[in-house]
Amino acid sequence: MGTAVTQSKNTFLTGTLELIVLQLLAAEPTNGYDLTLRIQAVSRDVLSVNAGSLYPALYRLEQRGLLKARWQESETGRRTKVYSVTAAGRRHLAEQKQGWERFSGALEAILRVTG
Amino acid sequence: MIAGMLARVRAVLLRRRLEREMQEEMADHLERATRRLMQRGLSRQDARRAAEREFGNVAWLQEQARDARGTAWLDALFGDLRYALRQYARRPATTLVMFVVLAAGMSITTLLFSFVHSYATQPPPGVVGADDLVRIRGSQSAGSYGRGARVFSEAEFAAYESLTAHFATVAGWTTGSVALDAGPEPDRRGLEARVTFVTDSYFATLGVRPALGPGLPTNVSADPSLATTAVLSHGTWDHVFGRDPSIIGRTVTVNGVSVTVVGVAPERFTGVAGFGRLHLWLPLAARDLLMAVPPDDFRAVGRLRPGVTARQATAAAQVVAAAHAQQAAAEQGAASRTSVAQGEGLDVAGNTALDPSTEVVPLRAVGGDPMFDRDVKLMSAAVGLLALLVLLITCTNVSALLTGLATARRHEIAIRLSLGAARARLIRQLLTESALLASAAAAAALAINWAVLRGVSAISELPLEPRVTWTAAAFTFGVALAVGMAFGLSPALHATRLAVAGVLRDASANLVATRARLQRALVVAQIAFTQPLIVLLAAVLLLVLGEFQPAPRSPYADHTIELSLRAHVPRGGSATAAVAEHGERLNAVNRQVADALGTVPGVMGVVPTWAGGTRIQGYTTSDEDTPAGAARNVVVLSREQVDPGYLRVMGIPLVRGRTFTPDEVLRPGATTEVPAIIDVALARELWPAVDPIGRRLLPAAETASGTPPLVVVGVIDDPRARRAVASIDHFVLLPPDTTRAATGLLLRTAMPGNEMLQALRARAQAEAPGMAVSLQTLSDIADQHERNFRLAASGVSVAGLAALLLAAIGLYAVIAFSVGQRTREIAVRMAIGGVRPHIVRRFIADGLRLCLFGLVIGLPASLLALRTLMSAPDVPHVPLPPVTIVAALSVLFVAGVAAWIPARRAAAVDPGTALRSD
Repeated sequence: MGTAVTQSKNTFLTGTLELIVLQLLAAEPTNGYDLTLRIQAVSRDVLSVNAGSLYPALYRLEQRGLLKARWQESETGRRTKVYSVTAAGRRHLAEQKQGWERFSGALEAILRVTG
Repeated sequence: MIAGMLARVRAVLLRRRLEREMQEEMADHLERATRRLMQRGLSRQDARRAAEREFGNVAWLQEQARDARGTAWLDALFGDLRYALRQYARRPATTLVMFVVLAAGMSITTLLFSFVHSYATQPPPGVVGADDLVRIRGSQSAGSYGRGARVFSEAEFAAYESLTAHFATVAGWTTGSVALDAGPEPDRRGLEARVTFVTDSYFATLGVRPALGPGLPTNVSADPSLATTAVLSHGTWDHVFGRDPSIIGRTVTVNGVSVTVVGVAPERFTGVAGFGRLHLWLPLAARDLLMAVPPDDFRAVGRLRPGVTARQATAAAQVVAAAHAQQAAAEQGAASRTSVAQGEGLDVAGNTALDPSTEVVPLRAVGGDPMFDRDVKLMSAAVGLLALLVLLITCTNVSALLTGLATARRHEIAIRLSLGAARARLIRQLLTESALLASAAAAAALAINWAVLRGVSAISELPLEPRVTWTAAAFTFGVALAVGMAFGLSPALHATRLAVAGVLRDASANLVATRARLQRALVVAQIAFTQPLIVLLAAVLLLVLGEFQPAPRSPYADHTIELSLRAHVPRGGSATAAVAEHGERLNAVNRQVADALGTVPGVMGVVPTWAGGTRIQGYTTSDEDTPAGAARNVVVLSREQVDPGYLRVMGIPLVRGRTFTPDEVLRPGATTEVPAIIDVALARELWPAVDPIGRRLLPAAETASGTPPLVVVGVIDDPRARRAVASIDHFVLLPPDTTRAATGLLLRTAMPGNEMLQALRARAQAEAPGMAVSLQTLSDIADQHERNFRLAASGVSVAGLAALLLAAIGLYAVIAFSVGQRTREIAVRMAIGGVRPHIVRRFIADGLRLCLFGLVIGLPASLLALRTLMSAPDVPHVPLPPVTIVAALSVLFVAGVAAWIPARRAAAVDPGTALRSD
């Protein structure tokens, strides 16, 4: 039971979360922690992504070759893993964005008619 | 796509590092969160706790992350493997049996396939073959034997060489025997060696490069001065020259001609057809320099041009063959170039009814002779069938054992299900167990095969090179894996379908009943498969015994020496004159050597011999010996042409009549009556009531024309005619053809022949310098034959015993397991007053009933297998019923023992203990 719900929530999130992650990392490569903060900040605290969703998403994207990661020395002297978008990731992002725009445009049209 | 795959591979290979990095990354995340919270005024401890809350369950997250990376399955796999090993360790005996059965079964199956494969589908050893490498094979009618091999004249070969539209290259060769002087020492002089005279493109066409030296020059036909060069076989280099690395450039003497060694052939390469150890390859141009009678029996291979099929090339070759057949018919009387597989000498020269033809076929280790095409197919089919049977038995064995195990594990599976294990997870677990077993057994099988094949190639001189064929290995492994999985999986599917509570309460009596039925069915199947296997092996063993039965020895075998002379005489005049001259010269030398050896003290007699033993088909008794209306008795006679003194030297007693007189000779093509000496056995068979002397034997209707009628002049009691197994034919002695050169001498000695070999050899060499002399006592020759025979027979016996053992192990394990499963039932019977012997008897009866059932089912397959084997021409009759009965009894015996031991053990258990333990 529990698994089923988590599963569906994840699938819902996966698409949009990937879009968000790609978009933000395309703007500026950064590490996982800063990315959570940035998502929160950019969405004006509407979206809060917890680590439990973010890291699997990051690994999945890395696995698919849309992101690449490298280890960097941070300002505090710790090793930190910084993610950036690959060329394939950028192409994917562009496609996803287009799809999303079409979808949201359609949704908006529907809401306007029926509303 | 590719990046994704690379990432996946990387994820598997760098699993540990990625794991460490993930941990480090998450620690970094927590640390940053803590620091941020501390900046808001929390204590470090509180900040850390808050950060961890925010982060969530680290272990769960890491599991998610592993899933995302796609390596979670690997961790699960290691878990499954560990669990599988524990499972097997808990049942060491059953596991060992399954392992041994699987390994032995896979090993035998792949070995059998490998032998057939290397023999029937691979080019000869050392030859770099592809589909374009073909044999240009001459064939002709061989009477009732079907079609036989035909060799080409040099002119016909040249015609194939010019088919350049079809062949990229064509290489030809012709063979002969030569005397090789490897050094001045007496034991290195006059060695008999085979020589192959080859065209320039021979080695290149076969794709063979010398192991040492540059090899034969490839422009000898343009520059005949290069003709006196030779490539040694690896065996020659090894045995005669002790692998001397400085051999290249050395000069050896071949038939009195100095020849420079320019190469050593690779060890694996033994020519297109196998041959003995001592062998040389020389350019074709050397043929006329070395040979008194230049051999003109060409064989050919070629490489097809790209895009040309063997069928197209055959069509072109047939045109050539037809043209040459017409020409040959026009030149009636030319020397016979036939080589019918049963031996030379059927008088078939110039006979256009021979229907000569030429085919282009892929070059294989087997078969320059179309006569054996069918045999090869038959043998391949028989061995393939055998392999399949072994595989089936192996699989039923392991299936039965796995089914038994599965029944025993239904509790465990139910418990794991009730604890919440996913069905897929359980199935994966069971599959891992099967795969582990199959892989381990396959590894063992490969190791066994590697060792066996190494051993075989070390001791055998067969012109084949069996290799483990990967297709066969993969097929066997695939089947073993599939069987393991199917039967390992079934308990999971069954158990997971059942209500957990039901299984735990052991109310699933139905399941147990189903399992027991399946297991019994497998025992029956196993026996049904085993029987034809054993029957087939027994039949093959009988055939081997019958076919390779060593001929009974002459009582004087130790005191009789066979001496053979290979001559070289400088050539002059025409070819036919040379043949006659050569024959006369050789006969003269033979006589000279015979006279000389006859004066050596201790030599009691010397006679010339002619290699013979041509099988002549069908002779019948004449009309006056055939009762009116009765069918004529056709006997098959094996002819041997012997000197009048032969009987005396061989110590063969003459029972009636006389031996030949010196002027009785058998000329080729004679149609007048020829005197013959027959054996008492034949005399009794044909003329039981009357004196055989003066009786006549007429050629049967289907015998080739030109075969003379025979008249019996003597009857001998030849020990060689008394063969233990029904002999295929009778011996008949005929007078010699003195125009043909004798092939050797037979010497009778007063003391054991081996003690005189040295002296006789020296004397013969002194009389016939430059000739190859070889001497051996008949005992040694017979010993050699017997060794070969024993090797063949023991090979088949070992295979048969291995099959029986495999079946026995499986049978025992399956029955033992099913009895073990019924320990409870036995206990109940005992508890309610059953008598021990009675219970044991019941179980044995049960086992035997299953066995009988299997035997009955397997019977048609056994008979079919035997019939197929017997349908081959030339296969002597094997008594079918006894073979089948013996095979069936041995299977029954094994089944009885297999049932008896575990039943006795089960009945010895204290009923109370057995009932409590369940």
